[in-house]
Amino acid sequence: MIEIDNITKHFGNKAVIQNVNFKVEKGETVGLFGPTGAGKTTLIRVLTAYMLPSSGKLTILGYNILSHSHEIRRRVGYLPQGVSLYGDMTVENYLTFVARLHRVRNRYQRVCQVIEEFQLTNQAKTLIGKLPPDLHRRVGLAQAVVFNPEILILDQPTAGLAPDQIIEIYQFIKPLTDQYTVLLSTHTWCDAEAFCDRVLVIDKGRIIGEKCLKPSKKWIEPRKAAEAGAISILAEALFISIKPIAR
Amino acid sequence: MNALVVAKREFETFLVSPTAYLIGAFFLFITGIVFSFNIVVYERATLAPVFETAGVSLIFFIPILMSHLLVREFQRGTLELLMTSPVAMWEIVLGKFLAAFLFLMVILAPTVAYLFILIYYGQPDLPVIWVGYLGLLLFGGLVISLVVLSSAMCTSQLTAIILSITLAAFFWLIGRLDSVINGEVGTILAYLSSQHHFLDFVVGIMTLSNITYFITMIVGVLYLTTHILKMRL
Repeated sequence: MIEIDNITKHFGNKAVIQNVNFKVEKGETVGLFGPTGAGKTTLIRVLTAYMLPSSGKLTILGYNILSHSHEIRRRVGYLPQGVSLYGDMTVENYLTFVARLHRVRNRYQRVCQVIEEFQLTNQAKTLIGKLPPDLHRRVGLAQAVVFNPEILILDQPTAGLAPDQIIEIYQFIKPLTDQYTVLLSTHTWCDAEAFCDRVLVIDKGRIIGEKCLKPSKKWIEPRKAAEAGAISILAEALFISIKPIAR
Repeated sequence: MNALVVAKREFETFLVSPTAYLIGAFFLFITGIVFSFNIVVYERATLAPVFETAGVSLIFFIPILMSHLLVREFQRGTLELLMTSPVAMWEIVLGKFLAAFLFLMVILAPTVAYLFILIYYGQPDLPVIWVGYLGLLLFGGLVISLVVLSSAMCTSQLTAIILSITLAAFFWLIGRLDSVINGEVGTILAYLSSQHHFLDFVVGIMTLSNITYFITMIVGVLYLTTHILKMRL
């Protein structure tokens, strides 16, 4: 569903993403795991057609990002980092607005359904700007799925939330990973473990390792980790993932 | 067309903004004073002085009222979600423009009351007045497009207001240079002047050249805005 072939993204002379390659198959939940500044958000912005890659080939659902970005945007639901929504709109109006942009049929029913799904019924008429962070995040998730996308991209869905809010938001993200093909970025190993079938470890703009989290799948050896000079983050990832088994 | 969806959202934001009504009321207060003065002192059944005052006022009122259009999208980070939806950049720009233009019509709508007062007490030249309104809308459209351009270029609302007032004033005053600069350059400057074209509408002169000027300028500025937005991402 997602094929990334040697993608590089430059900001001026600085390469923020360097020669990234990976594939995401239908139904998979793949995590992009790495520290702050690793290039996760930039890579995700390239994947959502918000930014164009400087070089390389990116195909999503068979569409090339350079020639068919509009088609890709129609089919990809996105929760950005920080989830900036229109605070001056009510939850219901905002979801209807997103549904309109995506030309959703039976808009009213779908919006009601999503509001119910994300337990936002009591907040449907509330201004988004007045919602606490966890509900704000739920509205962000609701807008990402209101048009029934084929792929869901979540950029640090739990960042900035309190522990109890994280536990709560997990309940809403988990069913989505069963329903959609999901790519999510995180710098918290708990997120990766909770949701992902497979994790790609990213540091300094490069994928330095890849690991399967589903018990049924084989572990994959780290790729060029030493070369990227960021073995520590991968080691951390492996350590944390082994921890539950050691117990 | 998604430009209309964007326009609807933006227009609803104007409708619930107390600042927008406050500025709109102040605009009506100024034009109301000019209208009263024209009726009581000069006893003329015309809206020309109102249109002239409204034209100059719009150079200041529109930027103050509308310069948040794209600046706020950048500041709040909402442009990212909009840009990852199936909306083309030109649709966002056009949507913002349409919403602002529609709200300008809302602000101008109460001034039609002046027309009814004129009809009640005198015999105004109605076609001249309608042409004046058309001129005011076209000129307002030009100022709005300059505001949208400025808001795409600036990172703060204040700088967007200053830039858009400067640009609108520049196009308003540039025609004055034709008295200093002679020849073809002077003629070109006079043609580029929005004041020159607008004042024709105010006195009831509606020519293809005047309409073409405003439409070309508006489309050109919005096209430039789209490219600037693309460059900023």
